[in-house]
Amino acid sequence: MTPMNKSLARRMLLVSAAALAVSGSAAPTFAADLPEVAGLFTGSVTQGSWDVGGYQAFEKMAKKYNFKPSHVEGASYEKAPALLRQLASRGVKMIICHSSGYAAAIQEVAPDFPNTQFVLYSYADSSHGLKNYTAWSVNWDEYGYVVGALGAGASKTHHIAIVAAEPIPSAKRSIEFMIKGAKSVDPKIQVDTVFTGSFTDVAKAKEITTGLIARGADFVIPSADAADAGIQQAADQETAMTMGEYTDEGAKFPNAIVSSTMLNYTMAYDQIGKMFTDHTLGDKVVPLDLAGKAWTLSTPFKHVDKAVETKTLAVIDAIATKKIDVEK
Amino acid sequence: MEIDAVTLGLFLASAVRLSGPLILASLGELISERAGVFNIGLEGIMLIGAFAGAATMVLTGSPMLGVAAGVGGGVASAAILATAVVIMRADQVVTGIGFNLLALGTTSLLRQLLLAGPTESVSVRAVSVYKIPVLSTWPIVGRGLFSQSPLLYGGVVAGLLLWLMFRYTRLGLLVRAAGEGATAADAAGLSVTAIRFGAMLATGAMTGLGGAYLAIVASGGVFVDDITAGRGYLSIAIAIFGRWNPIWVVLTSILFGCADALQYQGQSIGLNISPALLLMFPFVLALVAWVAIGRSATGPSDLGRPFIRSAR
Repeated sequence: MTPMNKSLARRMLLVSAAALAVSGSAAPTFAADLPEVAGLFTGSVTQGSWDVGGYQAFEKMAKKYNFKPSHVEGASYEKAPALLRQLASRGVKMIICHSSGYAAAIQEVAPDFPNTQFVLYSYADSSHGLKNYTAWSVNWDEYGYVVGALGAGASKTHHIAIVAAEPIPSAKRSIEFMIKGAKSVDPKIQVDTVFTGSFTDVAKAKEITTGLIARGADFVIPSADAADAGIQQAADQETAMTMGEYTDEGAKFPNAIVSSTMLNYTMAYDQIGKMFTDHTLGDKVVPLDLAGKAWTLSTPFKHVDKAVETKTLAVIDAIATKKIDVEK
Repeated sequence: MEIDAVTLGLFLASAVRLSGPLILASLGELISERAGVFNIGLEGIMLIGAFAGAATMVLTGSPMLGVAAGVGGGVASAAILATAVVIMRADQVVTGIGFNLLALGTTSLLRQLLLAGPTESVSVRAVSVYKIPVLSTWPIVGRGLFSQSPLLYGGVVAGLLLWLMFRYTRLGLLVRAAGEGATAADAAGLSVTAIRFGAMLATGAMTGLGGAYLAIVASGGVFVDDITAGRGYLSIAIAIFGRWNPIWVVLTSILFGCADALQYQGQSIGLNISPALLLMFPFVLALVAWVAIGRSATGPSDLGRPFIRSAR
């Protein structure tokens, strides 16, 4: 090997080793007697709230139905097709993708691996006729509407703010329904919306939230996952109100968090496990809405009058019983 | 859209606060670049400083110890990088990129090991804000310029001291000699390797402090994976945009802080520009800096060249 080739090889080795260190972690393969199921998560399963809650439910499901679980963290959307192929090729029987952003990868890979079930949790409008693709689809329109109604009901200044991460279509749609929900409670309410551009930049989320509160917003709706900590921290420091996302986060900032949305991950993942065991998965979208108790708000509400809790829960009931149609 | 005194005051305060980590890290980069080392590993050093700071604060309950640990983490990681690029003369760009990836993976792993469970929130008031009497009450500029973290004031003072050092002191001359004419400096009996190694340690201290500022002051002790989010790379651009002059580097950092603040303040005051475009703004500015300054500025002539004694 020439000196130049040696040098190149050393560089390649260094970069490869470093890349390997950050490319996500997959648990080792298990013995062949139990069906292996895998979970794909966009972020870390120990950070933020979306992936943390999903992973916990995934583990519970695997334990209950006696699956061999493995998971991949930091599975970005562009890596997803390769990861799905790799997992399916090694014989994983079911792969659960914990984000709507994986839908395209599933559509691409699922036809090539008919013996593997592909499941998506978050949002999908169709399973595209694939017999090995099932989606659990949260009704984010209802979610946004209720969260907006909560914020407007809690606000004393008639001014709330929404701090989101990336201006992706699903986030924009959710915000649209947050505003709709807020206006349904308080037609004159002012709603400021800001995108921080990052799901992890706590400092920026905190900075912008501080500014929004200084401008008069007294309730800030977080929608930035791991960066929510910055939003909640700013609300805590500036004596404003905020809320938790996806899991009960009340204990993190008890002086600022009014309530938390709590997605019933356990119920959805239990359904996934049961349907896999019963061989009833495939080519369907399972709705996760308020009628099916797919999520709720933590109670009792803090820092607001009891009437706010009563009214907000009444909105949830009205949506669940179809007395309110959020799409209208 | 409404721009009044309150909005201007908030914008300025936000811009200065957001520039804090950039001031500290870009001054750090300036030191190593003046000594001839193109330190691409700045992002990784900052990340390690942020983790060391946050973890120490959470584990000890002391933000001051957290800041000290951030500096220590920065120095230790810079020492590792300096060993590779200064002593072992590894390629500065490739090693720097590899180091950044390694730092990301390492801090993520350590976070899962040390900070995964619930933690008690710690007051960071001791390091987060110091209101300078009287001045902090001035309209518009009071909150922005005179009600900031002591670490940020320290960064501005460090910029002045570095300017004086490079201009008037023997130490500054030695550092510049290692970057401007390493072979001549070596012929004059100076240890270029020692100077560059020392400069890298100083870079580590400043950048680690920038990381600690980010995690402790700006994020209240919360560490998330990849918390630096490209600030290390922006700081490299700032050091070049500021033409390796500490005063200009501080001012350029504040300019980038303004670009950052504009993203958010612009959205919240209803500036009729797409949020996506506003979010791109600091990076577009960095790109302009690289292209515009890259063609006209004359940096240290030995910048990025490993010093090999036999080459003289």
